[in-house]
Amino acid sequence: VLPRGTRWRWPVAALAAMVLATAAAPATAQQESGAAFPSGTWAGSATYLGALDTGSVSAFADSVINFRMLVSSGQVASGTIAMIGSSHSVALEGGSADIAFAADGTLSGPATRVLITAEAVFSGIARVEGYEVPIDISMPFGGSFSPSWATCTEVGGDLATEGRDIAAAQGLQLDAEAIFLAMRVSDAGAEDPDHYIPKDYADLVDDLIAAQSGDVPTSDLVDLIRRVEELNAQIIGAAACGETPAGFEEGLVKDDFFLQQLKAIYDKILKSPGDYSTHEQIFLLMSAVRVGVIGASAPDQGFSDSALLLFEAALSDALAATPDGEQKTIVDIYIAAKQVGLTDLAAAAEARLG
Amino acid sequence: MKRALIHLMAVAAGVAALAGCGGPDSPGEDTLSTGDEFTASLGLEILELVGPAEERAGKIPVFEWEPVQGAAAYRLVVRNAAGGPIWAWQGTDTSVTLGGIDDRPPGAGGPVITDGSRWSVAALDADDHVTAISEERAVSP
Repeated sequence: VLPRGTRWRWPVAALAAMVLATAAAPATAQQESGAAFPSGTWAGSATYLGALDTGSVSAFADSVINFRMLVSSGQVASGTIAMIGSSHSVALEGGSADIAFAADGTLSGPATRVLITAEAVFSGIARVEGYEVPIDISMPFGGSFSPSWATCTEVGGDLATEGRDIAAAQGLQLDAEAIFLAMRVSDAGAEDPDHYIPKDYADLVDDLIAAQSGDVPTSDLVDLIRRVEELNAQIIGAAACGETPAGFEEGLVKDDFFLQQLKAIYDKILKSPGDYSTHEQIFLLMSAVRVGVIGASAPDQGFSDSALLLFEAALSDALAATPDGEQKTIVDIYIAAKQVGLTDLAAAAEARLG
Repeated sequence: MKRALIHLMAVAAGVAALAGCGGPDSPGEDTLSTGDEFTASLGLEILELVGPAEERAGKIPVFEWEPVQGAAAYRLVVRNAAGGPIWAWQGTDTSVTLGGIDDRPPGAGGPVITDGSRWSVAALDADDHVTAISEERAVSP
């Protein structure tokens, strides 16, 4: 049987813990500002100060948060976070609690909203009417944080932004702030060779060459084109911060050797486009425009023009093979044709829809 | 007689031009529209474009549009005056700088807007079906 009054232990302790826990809000509640961590290795820290007053219980907390992570292609490739803090709470009717908090976890997710997965330990003592009750709780701890601003070398924001909103939604007045500042300590490849552009480039070229001969599953070729897009995006991301490795300044298709290999893959795809679904064909066409192998600024205009015509013919066949009942697919072909400027295909699709 | 015929042909060409009946690559014929009866019949939502301005947008403008509920991705295509694609992009953001690089370093290569360019955005669902489409809007540097 608990001593009389220990019912106060939990409100006092819970509020002490809550003030600490709002240092990073649940991922589902976090709002994105649009700012993102650029590629590279980032080291950041924040000092959290929070105060909560319910009228019957007051709690104060502080903690120090440190994190380090590798960002590549808009994603957190790896990262760790450590949070250490303490909290003191006092109940108006008597009683108090002192809680220490420690959490270690990993970081993941998009560079616009970094997700925290951690294990937290709350330990301390609650005092109620002369009794001391130990507190020792270990639990999973999740959260997220988003940058509110970002440059190529520094990123900042407030870890407690959403915590304040969550507390307010529960009718609690939380006064908290955890301004973080992160510095880029190295580029994306310095600490993780697996995400270094030249290595990715070499791997991709090897695979493009290997896929040019023999029977290669269509899904493998589609995946290969996806990898080309991903690497191109990685290069563009690096270029945004002026850190494009030498030789990559003008993008993948400006590299003549790479372009030759990519064209050979597109030639292979366009020899039997009927092996691909309609949406795969649209993806392959749009991807070619996105990467720059097709389009007004493509290095090889002859290839660009002929590939565009072949895609138009392939999608015309796909359109002819699409049953009338699959209206959505016909609309998809029509819109893609309109967007890219394939007028004959658009007219054929329009006729089917009309 | 010959002079009258030429005059009539010129008038006919003028009327055709005013009616938007240009050649196969003319914007009047192949431009994506959201205001016509046919596009309305497709059952797609209208995606609202925000910017840039149609003129004096700069060679490397930032394209921006209103979000569409339920959209899994947006597909933007920029075309030149001849109707061919200049650049395309796909992602979840509702704005993007031409070429994908904010504050592109001076002298860096990449796509640029030329006179008579135009752009459009389609919203896609998780199955890659188009759910919303914008008009195709002109943009010039």
